[in-house]
Amino acid sequence: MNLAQLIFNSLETGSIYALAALGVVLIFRTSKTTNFAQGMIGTLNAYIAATILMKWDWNIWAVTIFAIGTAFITGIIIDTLIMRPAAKASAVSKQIITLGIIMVILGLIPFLFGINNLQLPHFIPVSPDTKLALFGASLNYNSIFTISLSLVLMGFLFWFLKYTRWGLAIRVTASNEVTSRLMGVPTKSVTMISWATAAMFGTLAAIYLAPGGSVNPNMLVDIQVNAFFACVIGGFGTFYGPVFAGFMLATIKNLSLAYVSDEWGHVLVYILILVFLYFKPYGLFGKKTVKKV
Amino acid sequence: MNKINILDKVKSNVTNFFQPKGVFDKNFVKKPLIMYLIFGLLLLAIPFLQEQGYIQFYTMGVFGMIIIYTIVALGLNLLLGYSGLISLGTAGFIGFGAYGLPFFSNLLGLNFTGALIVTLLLSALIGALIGLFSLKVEGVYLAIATLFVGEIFLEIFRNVEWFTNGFSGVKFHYPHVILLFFQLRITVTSFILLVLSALIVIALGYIGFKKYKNKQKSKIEKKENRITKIKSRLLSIFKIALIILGLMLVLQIVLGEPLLTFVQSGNSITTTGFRGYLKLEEFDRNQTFRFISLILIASMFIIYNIVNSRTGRALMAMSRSEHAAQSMGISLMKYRLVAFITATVFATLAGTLYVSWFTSAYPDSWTLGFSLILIAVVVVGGYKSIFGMFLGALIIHGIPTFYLKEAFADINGLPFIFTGVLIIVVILFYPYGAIYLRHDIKRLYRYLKSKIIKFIHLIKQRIQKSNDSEVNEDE
Amino acid sequence: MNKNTILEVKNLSMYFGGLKAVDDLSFEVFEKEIVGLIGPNGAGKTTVFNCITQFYKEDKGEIWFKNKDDEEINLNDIKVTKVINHGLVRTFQNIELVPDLSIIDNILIGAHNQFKSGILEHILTLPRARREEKELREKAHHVLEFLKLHYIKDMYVAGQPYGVLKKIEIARALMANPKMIILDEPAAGLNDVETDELAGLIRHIRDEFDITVILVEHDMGFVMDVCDRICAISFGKFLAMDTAEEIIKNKAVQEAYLGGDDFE
Repeated sequence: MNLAQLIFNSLETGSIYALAALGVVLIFRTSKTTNFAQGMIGTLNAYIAATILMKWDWNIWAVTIFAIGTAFITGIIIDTLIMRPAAKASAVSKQIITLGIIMVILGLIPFLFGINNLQLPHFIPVSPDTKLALFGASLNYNSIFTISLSLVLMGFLFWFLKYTRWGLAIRVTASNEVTSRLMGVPTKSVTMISWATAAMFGTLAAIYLAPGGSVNPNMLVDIQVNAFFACVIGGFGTFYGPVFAGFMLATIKNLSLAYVSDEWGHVLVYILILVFLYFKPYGLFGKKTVKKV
Repeated sequence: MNKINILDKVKSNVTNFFQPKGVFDKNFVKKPLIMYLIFGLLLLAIPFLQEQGYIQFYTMGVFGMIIIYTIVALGLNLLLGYSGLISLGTAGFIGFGAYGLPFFSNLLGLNFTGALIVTLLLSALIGALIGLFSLKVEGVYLAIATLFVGEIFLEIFRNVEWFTNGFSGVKFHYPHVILLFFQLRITVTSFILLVLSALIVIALGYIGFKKYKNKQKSKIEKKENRITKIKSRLLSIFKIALIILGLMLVLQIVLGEPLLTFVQSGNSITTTGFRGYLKLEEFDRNQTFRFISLILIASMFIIYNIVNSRTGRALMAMSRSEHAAQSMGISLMKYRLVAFITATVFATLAGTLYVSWFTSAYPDSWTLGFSLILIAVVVVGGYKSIFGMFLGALIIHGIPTFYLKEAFADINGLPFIFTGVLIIVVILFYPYGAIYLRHDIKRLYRYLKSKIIKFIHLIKQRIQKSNDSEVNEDE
Repeated sequence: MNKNTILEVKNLSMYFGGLKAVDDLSFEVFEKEIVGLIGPNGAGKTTVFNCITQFYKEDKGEIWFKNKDDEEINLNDIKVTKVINHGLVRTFQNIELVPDLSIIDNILIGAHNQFKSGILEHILTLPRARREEKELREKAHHVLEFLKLHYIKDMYVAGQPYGVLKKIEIARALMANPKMIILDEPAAGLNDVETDELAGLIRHIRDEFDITVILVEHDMGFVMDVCDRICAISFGKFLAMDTAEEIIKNKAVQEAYLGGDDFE
């Protein structure tokens, strides 16, 4: 595989990592917990999409939009029914609650959709006709579409965070929840919207990923773990850090697999990242917060 | 006057005499260490019940797994509950134990004990590295750094075939522990002499201990002189010897090997022999279960003693405020290392027990999900609680596998839904853990008791009233 | 260092980026003295404490301390965790106790370095470990008795009133056999009665245990009441050091406090 192809593939994986990481960091900043369930929420909605596609024969675009809608609702339900009553619990307890959500969804999936793995098609059918040759790499239209859609979505989110009233509300809630609540920011709605947005991103990641394999309960586990890694590398302090780190992580991992070794490639990358973290404990863009005594 | 005084004295003497003391004290059973022993005896009864047919074969397997969960959770609790640190790489360490033991016993040709020690030492080394790492990185960054460690393990388990045999998994056998292996033959007379001398040594040791205690009382201020120092050393040795003897006894009970075998030579019994209690042969399933239970009880003791010593206090001070802890002379590095090494060694130990109990291990068991479930055991069971860990393991692993799998075999996924809902509900309503359920149960009991007493009282009154009115009517 | 000087701060400077938190500060404290460190908000009082106890490694200057064995040592050469071994302990502005430990266990944290037995001895509960635990527990009981807290020693710290928490912090410091105690805002959050009691207590501790006390406090009445001498600083710079009466008259101090109405 040549370098250009490798980088192009990394861009595609990276965009999925970045989307998932953005969801993680959004929830971490507003709800002060690492959401382990994000991948599972995405998987649940991918199941919904796949089932509708099979049963009623909708096309992939309609199904995707529908699944994003249900993801939005799932996020809101989880926030209002589970996370909000647990607002006072410790950070670890909240993490374990997200584990509880994983278990519930893991149980719901065979209950609602059966035990078989489902299939979802590409947005743009992949065939020799829908490919573009560039610098010796062959890029299919579907991948180009997913990368650009992710970039557009993330760009929109950044614009939203920076220039709208709601974006401002999210940013102030992220920086200090108590103060912003006292200042009249509707922090409850802000966390709700963060959960909904994160769920939507997770669902999109699942729908991107599904055609390559299948829709199954474990499809996003790997993505979820890598999203956490991206958040740490980029730092939880900013929204753009994890996005950048997501692309970076995908590229480095692919390069290491290709040029170092199949067996030890990932291990080597992880160890390098740990060494990097030792010297930059708050990620690439993070800053240390000093505690007063 | 005198008479009364004497009577009072006698009375008080008598009541003092009957005042419960020692084993007869009601609170004696409530001492944690005694409770662990009782708990251990209960666990030891499980293989027996299985043999008698009261418990299913499958159930005993699940109990083995619950015990393994509890051992991991005990170590993890030191990290999560007492030190306020989090590890998402626990599953990796359990996997390391499960793969390390077969690997080292096959590759280096070590026996069970040797391979176990090598595996535990290696995991302690990795734990120490994470501990050092934790001095620099904190909070959620540290949590995810430990997730990196877990993923590194997982990648190795999946890809490095010479270590883990890849996706086909490794096979192992029940443990065969060699702690002591000797066979000794002596004559009956010399044996009696030996026992007598041992008794004398013990008696002397006891007297020395008493004296030493008295001395301590009178000389609290004075510096220790050399003699008391030597005595305290001797006492330490004496105590260690007692512990070893006790352990030997326990092991003997566990394995069902006779302590003494009388060998007949000729017509009369002339010689007697000591035999190695732990032999080269493999344990059977029941012995393995008892072995695992013993390790659980030992782990409970260890954690209890750590937590109730200066180490435990230092860990808790560190988790509350690093700065205050440092100003009290608590070295962050030392106690970070203690916390991480204990947690990783316990996890690895549990892994080795896993592979000894189930006799096989596969790479995909050791994921982030498993680590999270172990954290859930700690959180649901109750931070800073030792019995809570067992309760947590029972709730998270036991209940779903015991009941739901059989009761709802037709409906897929119900055990998962149940566990998930249970986790959420327990955390929402018992944020300090399910172990605090007992307070509520006590309260409920008292409430019900008072209600019942009131009710009975009411009925009595009614009856009396009706009786009275009957009497009135009669008039 | 003079004969009865216990602590001498020489030309201490500490910068945070461009900000001079402590600027060329020098003062000395005599044995068995109660010294107050005062200054307007942001004057760098707590920073001085943090430098003395080695939480911050200062940029310039020396801090000489006469330790338990009457040796003169430069605290800058000593690790933060070893400071307590030389007889210097501090309390904290925000209470730094462990809420889910009993009061006596919290106090035993102060005796951390007096244990000789290691972790393995604790695991096996060997005689030495058990004896040490017992002896230090008795000592902790005596300290609590001195502070009249012994009757609640087995209660949890969580849920105790603020005044008791402050006392527990002082007890924890006393547990370390200190030669000098540094109190960071001991009266903050206390009511008038408790503040009076605390003033008495601090003097009592000084007399009973022969301990030197340095404290930072915003309650001027309290500082005037309890301190033998007062050191005033402003923006990290030394203003004056004298008895309470003289400090009030001092022009520089009055200027620094101009507008501060809590200064009587």
